[in-house]
Parts: sequence; structure tokens; C-alpha cells
Amino acid sequence: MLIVRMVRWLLGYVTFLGTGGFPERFVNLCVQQRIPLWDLRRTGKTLQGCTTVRGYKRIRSVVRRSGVRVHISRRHGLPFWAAKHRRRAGLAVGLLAAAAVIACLSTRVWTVGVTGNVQIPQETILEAAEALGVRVGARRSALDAPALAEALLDRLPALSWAAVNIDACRAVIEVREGTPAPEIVDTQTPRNIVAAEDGVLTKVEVFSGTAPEGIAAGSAVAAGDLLIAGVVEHADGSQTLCAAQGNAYAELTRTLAFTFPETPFCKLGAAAERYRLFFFGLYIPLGFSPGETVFTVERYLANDDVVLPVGLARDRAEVYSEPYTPESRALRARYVAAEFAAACDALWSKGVVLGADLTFSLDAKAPQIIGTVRYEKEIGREQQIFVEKISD
Amino acid sequence: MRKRRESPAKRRDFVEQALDLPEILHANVPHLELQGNRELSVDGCKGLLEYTEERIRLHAGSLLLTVHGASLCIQMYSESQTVLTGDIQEITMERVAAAESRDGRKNGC
Repeated sequence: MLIVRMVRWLLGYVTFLGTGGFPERFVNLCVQQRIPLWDLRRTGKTLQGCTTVRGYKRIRSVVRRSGVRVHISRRHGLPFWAAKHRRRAGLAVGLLAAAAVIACLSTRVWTVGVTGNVQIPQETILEAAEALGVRVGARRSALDAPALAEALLDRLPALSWAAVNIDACRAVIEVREGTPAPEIVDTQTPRNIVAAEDGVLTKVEVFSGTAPEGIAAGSAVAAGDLLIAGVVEHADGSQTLCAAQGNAYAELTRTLAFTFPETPFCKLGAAAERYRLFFFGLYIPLGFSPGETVFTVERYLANDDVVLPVGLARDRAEVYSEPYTPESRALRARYVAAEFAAACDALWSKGVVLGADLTFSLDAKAPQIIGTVRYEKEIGREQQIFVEKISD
Repeated sequence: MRKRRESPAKRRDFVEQALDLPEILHANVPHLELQGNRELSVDGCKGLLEYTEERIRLHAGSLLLTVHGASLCIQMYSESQTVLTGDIQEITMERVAAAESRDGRKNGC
């Protein structure tokens, strides 16, 4: 049994060889004297066995009475190992240091995790938790879970519920996000809807109010033109003011022109980097600081489930100081195309692109993309109607 | 005529039979457990009579156990339990009749 072998090794035991005499009497006398024996083997006239250190010290009387001559063939166990290495102070110091480190680190938080967040980024929650003391390297006994949960809710109003669970050396922050209140639409204040930009109307949807004459799909409007009036005409001819509601979509034209700029670029002139060892919240620099403007990449020891609070951080400072003009046509064309793609992306975020009339000259030495793009977007803008009350 | 006295062993047997005690609780009855032919555990072993690589003889209470085999070794030997390992080929048991009758003659008339 493993535990029995471990205890024997910790206390120490010896393997002895007995020759001559009466081995059976020797064994019986040992048992009588309560001297533990195990792994007894008989090979010819020799009896080999194991006993404890204390047992061997008491074996002398048994030896005399049985006539067996006994000597130690091998010593096992911690006491003998320690005696053999007693001059090696470094071993003892190292063992003590390891025990101290393990004892100390067991009382600290190793990892902080977040679960339950959907909209709120994990980094936001971790930053808030770190400000409250929940961080890698914090003492577990100093963390008051209920108080931390309440403080977290105060810091992040978007959360509806939070809990801090300390499980061994892991701190897990469990959150539930609140449902944002719906936007209350003001339907009382009288207002009109006017055009925010010039364009040709493609569709007008009136939910409340009245569209003036001439405002329909196909009509051209300028910025500021009334699209939906906040006035309601009743059957008896009277009129009341209301908050106009509706959508007005118009087709707009945008001219795009992208060419490769003649001003020189700057390429990487100098770069400096430094590594830092991250150990339980401590950053131990392994070199000189590379400068003020740095970006840092951190890598931790981790597998699929667990991220350990030990890793390496690389700080890198780059200075773009050397003037550079790319000569390669492919590089120039790629630059112009990237600018064009960014502009199209911006247009798509505002509305729907209906069509484009563009000229691409990417093979030339001075690449360019020129043309117009037609797109549809919602151009209505609310404008409050100021009412002056006239006293009788 | 001298009064016949019962031996302690016979008195013990009478008590055990009167109380219907199971055999396993009898002081002189050894308990053996054999695992295949590799390990034999004996509870109630009183002494080791002979020990060689091929034969081990044990005094186990009311029985004399002889274990025949090869590469026999005593893995553990204590008052409460003895464990024998090796290639066990035969186990022989004999009653310790001579010891009981000696006890009877000593206490008899």
C-alpha cells in the first residue's frame, strides 16, 4: 500500500542480511519483541528482510538468542538521505523556500474570470473589479465577496446583478446585464420634419402629421425643405399642432476621388523593445525601458481552461522617422484601393448604395479612382415648432 | 479418587458451542485468504516453524500449515497477520492433536 510505503520511507528503514543460527527462531523472537519485519526472503542459508530503524536497534538481543549474525545491507528513507546531504545547505534552503512560496501563493488569487457578460466588454468589468481589489495576486482573505458585488454594481450601472465567487485560487465574477430602458419618444412637443441634405426623394412615410403638397417620391428637395408638417387638419377645418413622425428617404450623389498622395510617407526608423516577467501581479523588468510611447503584448502560460498568472510582456516602441516614397506600382494601387474601400464602408454604414460610376486607373504610375456614387439614406431631421401664446 | 478437571481448551469449546459463536471468532481458528496462487494471508499465526524458499511451515492456532511452492517469501510477519507471497503450489493443514492431548493428560487424573 502506497501510504504504508510512504510512512516507512519517511521514518526510515534498513534491509539486513542474516546468516547462520536459527532463522525461524530469529523471526519468532522478533515478533515476540514487537520488532516489525517485512519482505523476508530466504536464499540458501541467508535470510534477507527489512525492519525499522528502531527495530534494528533492538535486534541485538534477538541475535544473541537465535544465533543469527545480522548486518545492514542497505539503508532507506528520509533520515538517511538527510544525513547524507546535511552539508548541502542549499538543498534545505531551497526546500524551505519552495514550501514558503507554495504556502504564500496558496493564499493569493491566481486568476480572475468573468462570466455572464454579453454587451459589456470583459475588460471593462475586470478594470472595475481591479479598482475594488479583485486582481491577480490579491490576498483571498481580504476579499469580501458580498461587499465587492455591491460595489461593482455601483461602479457599473449597466449591470443588474453581480456576484464575486472565490473558488480556491480563482476569482470568478458572475454578472447579469440590465435591460436598457426603451427610448421614450416625445409625442407632445410640436415639431416638423425637414430635409437635412439635398436630394431626390425616393420614399416618404408619414406616421403623424401631414406631408405638404409636392412632397412625394421623385421630388427634389433642398436642405431645410419641409418634408412632414406637424399639423393635423380636422374634418371641420380646424388645425392642431402635433409632433410629426415619419421617414423620408432620398437619393444622394457623392463624388469620390482617390489618388496616391505625393507627400512622402514615413517608414520605421528605429524600434526598441523590452521584456517584462509577469508573476502574480508583479512586473519584473528584464531590460531598460524602450521609451514613452510603447505598445505592449502580454502572453500568459495557459491551456484551454486555465490561464496562469505567469507570463511575459513585451513592450515595443517604434519611431517612424525615415521619409519614404513607395515606388512599387502594386503598393501604390493597394493604398488607393484601401482608401476607396474605407469610403465605401462609410457610405454603407449610412445608407444603401444604389449604383456607382467610377473610373479605376490602378495600373498607371499615379493610380486613381474617380467617379460618383449614388446612395439612398434617410434625410429627415426634426425641427421644433415654436408656439407663441397670445393673451386675450 | 482425584476429581477430573476439564482442560481450558475444552472449557472454551463448550462455551463457544453453547453461545453458538461463529468459527471465525474462535481463538484458535486461523483465518486464511488465498489470492490465486500468488498470495496467502494468514490471521492468527502463532509462530514460524520452518522457512525455506520451497517450504514454509506455520503454527496457526489449532492447525499446522505447510505451504509448498517456489520463491516463497514472507511479505509481512506480525502477531496479527502473516502474508506469504510467491509461487504457491500446495497448502497442507494438520490438526495440532498432540498439543491438545498433552493439555488433557496434564490436567487429567
